[in-house]
Amino acid sequence: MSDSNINASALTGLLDRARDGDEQARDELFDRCRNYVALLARVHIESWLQAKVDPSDLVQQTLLEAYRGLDGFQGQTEGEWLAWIKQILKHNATDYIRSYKGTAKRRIQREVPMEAPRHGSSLFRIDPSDPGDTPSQLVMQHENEIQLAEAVSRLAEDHQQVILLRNVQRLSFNEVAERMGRSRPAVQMLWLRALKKLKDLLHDVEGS
Amino acid sequence: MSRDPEGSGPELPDELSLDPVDSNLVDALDQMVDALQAEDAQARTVLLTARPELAEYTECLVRLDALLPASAVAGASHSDPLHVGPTGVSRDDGDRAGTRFGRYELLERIGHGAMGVVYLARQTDLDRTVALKLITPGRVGAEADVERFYSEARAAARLRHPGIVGVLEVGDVDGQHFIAMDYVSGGNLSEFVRNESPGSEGKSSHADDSVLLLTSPTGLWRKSSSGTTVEPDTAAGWLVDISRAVDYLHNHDVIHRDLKLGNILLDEDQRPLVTDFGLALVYGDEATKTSAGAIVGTPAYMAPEQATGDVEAISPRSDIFSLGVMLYELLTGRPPFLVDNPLDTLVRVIEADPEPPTAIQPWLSRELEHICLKCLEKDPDNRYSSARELADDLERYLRRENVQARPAGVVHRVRRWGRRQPVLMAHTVALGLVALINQLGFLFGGDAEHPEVHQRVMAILAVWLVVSMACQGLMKRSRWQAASRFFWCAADAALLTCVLAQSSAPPGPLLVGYALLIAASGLFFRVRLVWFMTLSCVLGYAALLGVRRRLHAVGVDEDLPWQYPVLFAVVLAVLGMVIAYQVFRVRVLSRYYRRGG
Repeated sequence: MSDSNINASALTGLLDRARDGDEQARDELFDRCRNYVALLARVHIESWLQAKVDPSDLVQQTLLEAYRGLDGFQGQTEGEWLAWIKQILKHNATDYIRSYKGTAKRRIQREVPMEAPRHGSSLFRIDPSDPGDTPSQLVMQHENEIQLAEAVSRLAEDHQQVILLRNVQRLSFNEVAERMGRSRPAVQMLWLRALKKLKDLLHDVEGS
Repeated sequence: MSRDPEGSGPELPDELSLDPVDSNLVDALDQMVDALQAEDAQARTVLLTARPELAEYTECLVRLDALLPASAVAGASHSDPLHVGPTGVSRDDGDRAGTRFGRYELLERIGHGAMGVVYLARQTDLDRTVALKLITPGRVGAEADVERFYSEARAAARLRHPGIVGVLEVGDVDGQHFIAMDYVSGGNLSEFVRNESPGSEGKSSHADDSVLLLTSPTGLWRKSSSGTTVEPDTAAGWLVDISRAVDYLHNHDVIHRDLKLGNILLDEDQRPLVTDFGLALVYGDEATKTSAGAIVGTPAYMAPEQATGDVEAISPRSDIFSLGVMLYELLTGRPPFLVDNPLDTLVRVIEADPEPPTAIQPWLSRELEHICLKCLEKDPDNRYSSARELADDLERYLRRENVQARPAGVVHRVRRWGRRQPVLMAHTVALGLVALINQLGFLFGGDAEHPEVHQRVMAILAVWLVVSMACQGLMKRSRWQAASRFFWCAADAALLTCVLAQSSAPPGPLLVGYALLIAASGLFFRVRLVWFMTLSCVLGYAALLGVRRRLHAVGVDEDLPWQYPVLFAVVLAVLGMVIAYQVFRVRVLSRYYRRGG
C-alpha cells in the first residue's frame, strides 16, 4: 500500500468523525480541503475571466456552505466528499462569475453559462464517482487531489501561475507568455523550475 | 540539468534564454503534456522510452492534468451532446468554430470524444444543423484511429431508427476525416443522474440535499447521498426505448459494447437516443475484430465476459448486461460495481454480485429489481435472450402486469449471497467441512479423542464462525473496513492456534492451516495485510508450541529434531514474503493499467 492510500483513508476517517460531531475533526477536515478548494476556484475563475482574480471570497463561501451542509451529506468516501464540495463550488463559481461579469458590463451571454449549463456537465466534470469515463481517468480522479493542491499551494506565486496556465488550463506557451507578460523562453524556464519544485514538494507532502 | 540556485525566480529576466539541456527537457516535457492532453497513450509511451528522465515528472503531470477536465476550463461553455470523455483536446486541434469545412460551416465546438472534436455545424447546401465529428489528424497511430473511425461510421451509417442518433455522412475534406450526425440538443443521461436535474439552477440549498425533491420536465428526481435517482417508471420507460433501439442494433449485427448513461442522449421531448458506436463490433468485420483484442469499454458497465477480454464471448447479451447496469444506476443513483480503481472494479464485475437495488432504495418495486438483476446475471445464458425481451418485460412492469423475470431460486440466492461476501462464504464452507470431518472422525474413529476435547474443538469452530460473521458485518461499514480486515486475520490465526492446542495428539500435517491462512490473506490484495497475517501465524505457532509444552508436556512432536519448528516458522515467513510479493506485483500492474490507459 502506498502512502497516498493511507492518507486517503485518513481523510475518510476524518469525515466520519466530523459527522459524528467531533469539532476538532471537523476543523481539520476543512483545513485540509482549503487549499484544494482554493486551487480549483482559482483555475476556474481565471479561465473564465481570463484575468487574475482573488478567489478567497468564493473559497470562503464554498467552505462555509459545505460546513453548514455537512449533516446533510451522506457520502462515505473521500471521492464522494470531494465531488460534493466541487458541486458546491460549481454553483458558487457560476454566481461569482455572473456577478463579476455583471458589474463589468452586461455583455455576457455567450461567454458565461448563466444557468446551470443546459447540458449539465461542462464545469466540473470530474465527479470521482463518475463511471462514464475511460479507466485511466477513472482512477486518476481518485489520486489524491488534496495532496496535489497542497503541494501546488506551497509553490511560489509565479510558479503556481505558470503551472496552472499550462497544465491545468491547457494553454500553449505563447498564450501563457502573453498572459504573464513575459517572453516565451522565460516562461518555459519558469515552468521547468516550477515542475521540478512541484515534483519534490509532492514527494514531501506524501512522505509526511 | 539542475542549475537552479534558489529555486524560485520571480525576478527572472525575460531575455534569459534556456541552456540547451534545459531547453531540450522543456521540449520533451511539453510534448508529454500535449500527449496527455490529447489522451494519446501511445505517444506518451514513445516519449517515455526515448527520454527515460521524463519518468520522474510523469506522475506529477498526470495528476495536474486530471485535476480539471478540459471541458471545465478555457471557456468551453458548452458540454458536448456527443460526449465521450472529459479530458483534453490538444491545442493543435485549435478551435475552428467560425470557419468553413467543405459543405459545412462550423458554428461552435461542442465537445470532444475519444476520436476527435465535435462541432455544431450548418450544412450549407441543405441548410440543416448537424453535429460534425472531426477525427484528430496526424497523430501517432493515426492510421489505426482512422480505421476505427470508419468502422464506427460504417456501422452507424447503415442504421436508421428513432432511438438512435443517425449518421448522415462520412468522408474527408483535404484529408480531414469527418462524420456528420443528427444534432441532439439535450444532455446525456449520466448528467441527469450525477448532476442535479437540468431544471434546477443556481444555488440550491446544499444543506438539505439529501431530502431535496426537484421537479423536472421528466418527473420527480430524488437526491440522495448516492446520487440523483430517477422515478422508477421514468427509468423503466427510458430503458424500454433504449432496449428497443439496442435490439434494432443487434438485429443489424451491431453490438454496441460501450452502452452507458453517458452514451444516451435526450432529445427535446426527453426521449433517449443511443449514440457513439465507437466500439461497435461488427460481425464479420475482420479489421475491427482483430484490433479489438484488448479490453475496451468502460469497466463499471462491462459484462463479465467483456471484462475478461474474451472477444469471442462478447455477444448481444453483453449489451443486455450493460442495459442492466444503466437501469440499476438510474434506480439507485450509483452503478452496481463501482469501487475505487479499475482493477477492483473489473474484479467485482467478474466475481461479485451487486447489492440488490431494494437494499439501497427500499421502496423500489421487487418486480423491477428482478428485471434489473436478470440483466446483471454473470452467465449470459441467464440474462434476457434479447433486448426486445427486456423491453417487453419492462413494459409489462409499466402496465403492472406480471413480469417474466422471476425471483431467484434458493440455490441461486445462496450463490449470490456468497459472491457478495466471498470471505465469509469461504470461512463458512471451510469451517463447515472441518467440523463435519471432525465429527465423523469422532464418531467412527475408534479410539479417537476424549469427548471433552472434541466438544471444545467444535465450540471453538462455532465461535470462529460467529466471529467471522461479525467481521463481515464490520466490513460493510466503511469506517471499520480496513481495521476489520486486520482483526479478521488476527482472529483467524488465534482461533486456529486454539483449535490445534486442544488435542494432545501431535498436530503434524494440520499445521498447514497456517500456510493456508497466509495464502488466503493475499486475496485481499493488500501487502501489509499479508505481512500482518504472516506475523500472526508465526506468533500463533510459537504460542502453540508453548501451550502444548505446558498442557500436554510435549512440543509439537517429541522425536523431532529441535530445528524443525524453527524451519517451519521460517517457511511460513518465506511463504508470506512470496504472497506479499505477488500482491505487490498485481498492484503495480493495476497502477500501470490506470496510468497507461
